[in-house]
Amino acid sequence: MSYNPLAPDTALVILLLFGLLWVAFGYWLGRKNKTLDDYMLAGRNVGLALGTATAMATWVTSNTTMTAPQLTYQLGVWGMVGYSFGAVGLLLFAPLAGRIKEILPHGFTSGDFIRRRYGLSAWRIFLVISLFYALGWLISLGMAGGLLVNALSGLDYHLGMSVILLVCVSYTLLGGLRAVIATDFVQTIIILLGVIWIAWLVIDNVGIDTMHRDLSAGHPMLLQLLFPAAIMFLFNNLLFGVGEIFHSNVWWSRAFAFRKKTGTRAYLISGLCWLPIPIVAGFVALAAPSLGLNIPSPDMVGPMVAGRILGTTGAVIVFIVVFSALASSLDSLLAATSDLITQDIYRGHLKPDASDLQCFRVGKWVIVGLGLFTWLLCLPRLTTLASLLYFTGAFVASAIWPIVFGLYFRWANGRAASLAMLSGTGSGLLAYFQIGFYVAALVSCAVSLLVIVTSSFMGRHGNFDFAQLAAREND
Amino acid sequence: MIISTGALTALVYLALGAASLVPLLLLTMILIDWKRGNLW
Repeated sequence: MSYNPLAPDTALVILLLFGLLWVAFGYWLGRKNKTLDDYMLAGRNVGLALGTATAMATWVTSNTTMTAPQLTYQLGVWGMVGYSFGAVGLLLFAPLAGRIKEILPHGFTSGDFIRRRYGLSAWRIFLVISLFYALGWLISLGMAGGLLVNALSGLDYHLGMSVILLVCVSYTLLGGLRAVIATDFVQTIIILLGVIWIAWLVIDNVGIDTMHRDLSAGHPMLLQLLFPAAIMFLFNNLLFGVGEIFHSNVWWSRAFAFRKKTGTRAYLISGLCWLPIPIVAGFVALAAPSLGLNIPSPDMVGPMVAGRILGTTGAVIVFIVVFSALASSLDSLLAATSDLITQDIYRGHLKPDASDLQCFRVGKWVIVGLGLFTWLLCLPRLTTLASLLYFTGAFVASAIWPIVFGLYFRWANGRAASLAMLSGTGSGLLAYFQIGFYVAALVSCAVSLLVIVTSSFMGRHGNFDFAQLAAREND
Repeated sequence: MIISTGALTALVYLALGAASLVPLLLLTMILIDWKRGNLW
């Protein structure tokens, strides 16, 4: 991967300038944080605009901006359309977000819900799944930061990865969720303007007719609508996305943070707004043959098309878009994982009588610790670690039904939820290794559904009283 | 079965048109929330 359209010095200056901007913004926003609710959940009163933008920005990762063109280049039209189906997770979570705020108005984390709804065993199993996924995502994002910066500019992997992590840890530490949400808004606008501008220029310079003609002649597979591998990818991506969003504290903490009756609308609008982005970011890859580009590695197709059309300006735009996409996901993950460790491990297991003030202080240390932990694991540049995220599909999909049934139905009980998560994860992993990555989430989700329904109805029928979730704890 | 030029053009323009409206929508929403004191 020797395509470096940007000088390393220019890349470092951009990283430092934007980094300083985010950290200063985080510090300014953090001055208002006086309580644990302020720090962890931005005061639990986030409005529709910031709510919509933060949900969108978090779901636009470096994957969306870099992998969407790569998948389009490899899987054709279905690659970009399939990727855009990731929006289904946001759309389906919309009613759940409203329900979460309604039945658990004082909750902090997804773990809070599982513990109070299903009891200790299910809570601990859920925590393992959730933390495994969160740490896998953190490491893969940290590594992606270093690798992308290196690929786009030739800047040293360790330097790029360290600066990105330092910037994200600093502003998340200083401003808590308030800083994460506010920077997400600005980052969303930057990402959108960047990918839209590049897409319009590709149409203007190459034209869809020319792209279609050249692809028909040289790469007809990319225009093929009956492409089995691509259709499989579409379904797996859809289920993985739903599992990720339904279980992860990144999305639950936002449901708790949004103003009453805002969560459903914010997730619905963000899903609809996110839907076209992978197509806009991805279709530029179809211009590569018309531009006569020789792509050394499929993951560089997006930056190379932008670089060919826009020169250094294009390279700068891609770099800023990728950095914004990385930061918008890293900050959210740092904040949400720190909440989970503080609330569910520190207060839940180590110090049950900890006050909100103690948790406020511990939460800050946890963010620093998570940053250090991620940095240490990213140092050796073991790309096999980043691939951890691929088989978390089996883990996260097993939590979909325990969460959905737990939120809406009295009959789902703790034993059934535990069994569903364990058997779903086990069978999903088996499918991953015996069949392939594209069935792991599907098998896990199906087995978990079967187990939670049969186990709930065959065993002692649960009759949960949802009113007990509304009471505040730790008072 | 290969996607036609017309269908590909429609798909790309539809996505690009919708995506182009999103920044405007977000900026309008934040302006309304800010004016009503509903940001946080």
